[in-house]
Amino acid sequence: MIDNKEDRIRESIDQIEPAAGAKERMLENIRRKAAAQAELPKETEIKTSQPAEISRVNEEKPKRAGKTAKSSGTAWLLRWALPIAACLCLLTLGVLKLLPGKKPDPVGVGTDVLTAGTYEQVPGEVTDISFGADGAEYTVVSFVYKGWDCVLYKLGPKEEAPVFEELTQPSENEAFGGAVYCEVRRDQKKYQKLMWTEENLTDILLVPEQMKEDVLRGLYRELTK
Amino acid sequence: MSETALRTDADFEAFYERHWLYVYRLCYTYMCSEADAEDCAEDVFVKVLNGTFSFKDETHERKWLTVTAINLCKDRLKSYAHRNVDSLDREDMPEIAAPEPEDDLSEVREAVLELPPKLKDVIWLYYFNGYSTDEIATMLDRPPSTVRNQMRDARNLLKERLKTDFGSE
Repeated sequence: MIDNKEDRIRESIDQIEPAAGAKERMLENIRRKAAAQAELPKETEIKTSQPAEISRVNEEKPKRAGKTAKSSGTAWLLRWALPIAACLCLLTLGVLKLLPGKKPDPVGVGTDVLTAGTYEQVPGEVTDISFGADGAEYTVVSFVYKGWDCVLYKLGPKEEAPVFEELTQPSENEAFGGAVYCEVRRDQKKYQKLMWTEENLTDILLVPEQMKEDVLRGLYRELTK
Repeated sequence: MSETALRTDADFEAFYERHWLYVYRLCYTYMCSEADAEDCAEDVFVKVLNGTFSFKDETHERKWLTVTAINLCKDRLKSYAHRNVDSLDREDMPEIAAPEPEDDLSEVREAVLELPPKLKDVIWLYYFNGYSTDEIATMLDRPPSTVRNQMRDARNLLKERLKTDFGSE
């Protein structure tokens, strides 16, 4: 007898049973489909020396300022104070940009060194910037490079990488200095993803799937010089 | 805990053994057809077999499979809608030989299957996997407030259909 009404949903799904022989049939089909896919010509050589980015994810994705709150006590801070600080930061950057001959140092809530470094690193126009809350070493910068909307994640050594659904196998790509390249999906949109690590900081770059390789290479060079 | 790398056939078969029924049931919840559910579930495992993934633990495996299966099913449903194609052989497939349900669970199951895909996400992750709304928000990359609203909408639809409350947070 099921007392808990919520258990009824679980129990009702538990009663979904596949057709007879489905388990073996599916396994056979899986092997057949996998073999057929493996025979398709590949554009880049697949290397397995570096674990897929998905393997670095344990539990939650890094939190973005203003979007999550651990308790009601910090809810106001995350909801209002940090976004206001980010807006003031952008305003300061915008004003200082008008001054000749100097790139402004952003004052960021969170990890100033990480944020400033990320901002300095990004070519093109910055359209959004967010920081990890509660001292998390995590910066996300959205920017426009040659007309393309791009996102750069900069993660400290203790931060977990964000989860994306991988559409192709991640592989080290020599055209990008050994950075790991793959195509991913996020929010039902497809992106190209590059990931590399330097001095204990991890960079993850998301660019539209339509961006051509030479443009991406140029962007990567500017980000890593 | 050491990572699980699916490097050999035996590794993959053990992985498949652990998760095939869960993935099938998840796909069935979206596709509502045995053939489509099998097809989608197979494609999920093909991604694993042809990928170079390694998972931290079974929880990580389950989470990855859940997100991948949901996205795959939704893409498939979109392509069916775009091509005006009905689900594969739905009427031709033999009926599921389900055991006699207790408490009219078949009605509950039908109500869940009739939910819109976006609401199925949160129902599945909350009731079937036991994730909190914050965890669901992270996995689906939606604001927690959106997830809570969707939970409320899903419960209201189930309540309307089944004339019974399904609790609140």
